[in-house]
Amino acid sequence: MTMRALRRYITLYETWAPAHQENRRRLAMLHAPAVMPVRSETQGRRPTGEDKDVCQLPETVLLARGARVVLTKNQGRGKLTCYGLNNGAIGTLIAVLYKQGEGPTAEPATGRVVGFPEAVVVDFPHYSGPAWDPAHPTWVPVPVNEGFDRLKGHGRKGLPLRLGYATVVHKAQGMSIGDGKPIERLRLCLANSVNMEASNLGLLYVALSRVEKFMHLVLVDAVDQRRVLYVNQHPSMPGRHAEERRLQALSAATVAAALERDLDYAALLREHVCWMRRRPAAVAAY
Amino acid sequence: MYATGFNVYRSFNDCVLLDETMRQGREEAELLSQLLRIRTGHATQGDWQQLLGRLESRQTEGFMREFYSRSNRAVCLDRARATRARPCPCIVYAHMDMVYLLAPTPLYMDMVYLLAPTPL
Repeated sequence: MTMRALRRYITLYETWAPAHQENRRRLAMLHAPAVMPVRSETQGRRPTGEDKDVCQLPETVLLARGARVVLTKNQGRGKLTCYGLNNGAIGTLIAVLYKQGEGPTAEPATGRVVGFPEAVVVDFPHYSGPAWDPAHPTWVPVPVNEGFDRLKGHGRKGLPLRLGYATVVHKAQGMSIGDGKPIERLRLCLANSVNMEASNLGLLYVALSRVEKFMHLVLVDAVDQRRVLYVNQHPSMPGRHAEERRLQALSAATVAAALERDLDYAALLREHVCWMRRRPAAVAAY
Repeated sequence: MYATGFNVYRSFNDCVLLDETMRQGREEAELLSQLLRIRTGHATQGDWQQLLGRLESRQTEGFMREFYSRSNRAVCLDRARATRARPCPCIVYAHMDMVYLLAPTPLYMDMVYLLAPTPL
């Protein structure tokens, strides 16, 4: 049995509620033989954010073989990001691992799965670190993570994964969409009003600039003309322009000073790249 | 905290602006200039019109079929093959901060593999 082919497009929304709905809809389309909801354990204050994340760990994650998932947290305290295990990495769920003799147990009253698996194996196509399974070098076991936010007074234990068929524009920052990328096409669902742009200047730009080519993008609904033109009149725009002018002046001064001191930025950059290339070896030795 | 962070940011005097967009290639000059106008607050009615041209309802049936049928890299999760593919004896690999795992042994449920306790 080969898994049904997954669509490699992502839908971006402005808020989490429709994104969750789309994720569940696409998961249902997968016709997975079993879907297991794994609920995180939260201590302390109730989270207030719209996505209910605590320490970058979602409240619940739906697991199903073949489902597209996104890492919500850098792994290995950031030391594995150079291997491609960074917040936002996209992969396909392969298996859920339990200790021998253990397995998912359900609460009799609610039927809700309690307890955690030991790890979840995810195929991250861009993973370049040591292979856990030499037959599948991009398969990575992702363990349950724990974190506590002292400032907000709450902590959470859970899987750092979320379904990756849809997300919000804020979370898509840094994502590139195009041929040969983990996600090849973008479906954009923007509100037909100026409200979101008013409270989040640059949202439209972030959403549109994810694609490498215009043909990689489709809009689900029409965007109000007022919204596009509102960007020009946003109250923060003059401040942004002033800041950009300040940075341009600083940059010109920095480059001029560097030229005076014979500082070669290209050499510094080369040195940095060499350091980055050596870094995986240093991390592996850790 | 926000004010402290902002003050630290403002205290930097060495600054180099990176002004080349790497995501959109040079062949996408039109998209690049449109994005720049939207970013800098100089969007035009033409930009809006062009954006509307990307509406799902305005695309051809063939384009949309192609759009939605970009298939994922084939992931074969055949139960028999998954078991066969496992090397024996099992490979133990420890990721930092990750539990020690053995390659899966028999399938426990349809989607759940067993994990043997590993003396390391």
